[in-house]
Amino acid sequence: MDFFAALFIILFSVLIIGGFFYWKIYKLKKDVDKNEEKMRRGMYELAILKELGDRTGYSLNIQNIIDVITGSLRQFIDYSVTSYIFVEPEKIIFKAHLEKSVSREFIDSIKKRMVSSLSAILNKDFSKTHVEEILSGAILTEYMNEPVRSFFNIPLVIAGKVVGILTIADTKTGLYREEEMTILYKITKQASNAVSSLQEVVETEQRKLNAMVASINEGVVMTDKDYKIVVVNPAAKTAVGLSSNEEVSIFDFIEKLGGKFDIKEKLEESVKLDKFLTVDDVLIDDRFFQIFVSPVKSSFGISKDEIMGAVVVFHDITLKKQVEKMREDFTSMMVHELRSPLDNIKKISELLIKKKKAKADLEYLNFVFQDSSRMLELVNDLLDVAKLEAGKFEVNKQPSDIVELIKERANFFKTNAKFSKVALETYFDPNIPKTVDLDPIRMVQVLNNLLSNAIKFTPEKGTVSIQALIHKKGQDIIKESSAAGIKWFLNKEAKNINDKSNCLIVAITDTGIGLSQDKIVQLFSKFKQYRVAIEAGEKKGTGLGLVVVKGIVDAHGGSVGVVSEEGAGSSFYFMLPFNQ
Amino acid sequence: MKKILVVEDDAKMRKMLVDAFTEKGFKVSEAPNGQEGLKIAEEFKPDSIVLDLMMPIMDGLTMLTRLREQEWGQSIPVTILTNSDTSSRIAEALEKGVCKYMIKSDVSIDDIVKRISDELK
Repeated sequence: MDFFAALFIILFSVLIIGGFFYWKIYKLKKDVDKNEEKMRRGMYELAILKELGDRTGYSLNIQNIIDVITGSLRQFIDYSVTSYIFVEPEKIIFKAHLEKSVSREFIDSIKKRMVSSLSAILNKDFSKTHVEEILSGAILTEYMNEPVRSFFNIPLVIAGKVVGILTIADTKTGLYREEEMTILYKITKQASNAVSSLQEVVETEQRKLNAMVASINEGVVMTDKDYKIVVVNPAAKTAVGLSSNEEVSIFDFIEKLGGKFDIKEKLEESVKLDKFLTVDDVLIDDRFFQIFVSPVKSSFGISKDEIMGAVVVFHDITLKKQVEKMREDFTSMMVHELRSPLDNIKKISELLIKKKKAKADLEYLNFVFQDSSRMLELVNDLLDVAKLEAGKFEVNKQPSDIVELIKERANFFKTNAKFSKVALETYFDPNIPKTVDLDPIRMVQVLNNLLSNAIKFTPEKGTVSIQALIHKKGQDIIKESSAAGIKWFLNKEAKNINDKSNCLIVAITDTGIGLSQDKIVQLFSKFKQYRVAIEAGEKKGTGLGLVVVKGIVDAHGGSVGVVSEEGAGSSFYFMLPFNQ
Repeated sequence: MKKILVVEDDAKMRKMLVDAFTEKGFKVSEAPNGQEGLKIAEEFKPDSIVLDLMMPIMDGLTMLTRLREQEWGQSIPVTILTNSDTSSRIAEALEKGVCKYMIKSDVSIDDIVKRISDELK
């Protein structure tokens, strides 16, 4: 008996202890599960918030956010279809993700239920509103014809406003009990709160941005990737002729700008090619604009450097244009009012000189001729430099007889050379073709400047030669020039010149004092030559002439240079590319 | 005797040209603007016209256009003599059938007379 009693007691205690432990372990496991669940939910909320933050970036797209929420419901709740409807100004968006294949009727049924729930919540009739349907996930099938047996609606509230409805539905019965519903409520509530506070942040930022943009004088229009306007300031609206306080869309801009500036095309170009575009001189109504289009990139988050849209800036340049026009008018006034009388004085004195006056008269007439020539040159140079600087220098190339042109110039400078007691000679390479493509008017200016300088800086009884030669690539310039009977200082540069492509070389060689290397460097820059000229002695010059020469030759695609030998003279030359 | 019409608003320049051409043995007529120039050209029927571009009342390019519209004016050689070196304007004049153009400050009176008389030989 004792044995049995003892055995019983032992067994009983084992049972009790075992039971206790089992219970203890069970409880522990349940706690662990519960904690795990809690942790999982906490993690989920964190994940949603993070994902929302990352994805929303600068623009808050509620639809995207709902996509994120519905996409992650699967790990908590079983369903065949999760869907949401979302109210937009013109339509309702119905989006359903199929976890399992269901029938068309199934979808239509939940859609109908959702629209009527929304109608009830918002107290608004949606029966005539267009519903845009987007389906994803599993396919619709005819073979499954299970009806909706479980269905659960939850309103989507953002910043205290119902914006839509989230639904889960299944073909099985009795799925959504209190527990699931609680989870779903919590998730949507959490997400709603997150979105609401995010929206607040975004709205504050937007207000700040709007205030900042509104205060800018330039017209600014910023759009997202779909060319929907994100920010627009009053200056942009008035620029295109829209009222500054009306709500505008990109279509208003497209319509107002018409053919003057294709804003859509430029936005697309900028966004797709990631390119900064500038369009000059767009005339809108009676104002001129310079328009910039630039892609806008995200500066933070996972979408860093991703193009999020574009910004168009309207820069009003009307005033600048007016000033430019005034300057142009002034320049042409100068041409007429200053150049004409000076030219007359020069021509009159030249005519009188030729009429064989008494020696005393002739001397005074020479003074008039020389001074008016000098002033005329100066006026011409000033006007040309002004044009060069304004970027208004036109070069109109046409087949021209360069030999004839040079001969004419030599003839024109005869009087000048005679006064300075300098001989003027010309040398031509017989290979020069009948015509070369160049702007004859500009070429005359180049030759005028070079010749007048050469004559000015050559002492009495010296010689100024105009030399023209066709150089072939790889040929020796020394041989080429000696064959043409040309003597110049260019032979010193033979090594550099020989390798140049085929070109026409025109040089003005003098027997003047020559130039040192450091002075040559300064010659072709504005104002620098002035000092060189002063240092050279009593003969003055502004040095603007060489700036003009360089400008014209550059515009022809050629190059200019000087080769000099101190005490012996200099060759000022230019090379024009020549393809024959 | 060959006939030359000088259309130039600057009276001094005009006189220099008229005198120089007369001295060379041409029969010369003159006009201070394009409108007058057209009127005189129709009666005078010059063998050559020297034409300034910038003139009041009617400028040189307009006169040239009108001249070329007339049957009698289509083949008269015209030499543009100007102080405006705007390439586009000169290109426009060339398109309208101008034989020559000269920039005033680049040529002497002798040059002008010589070139035009060479052309008429």
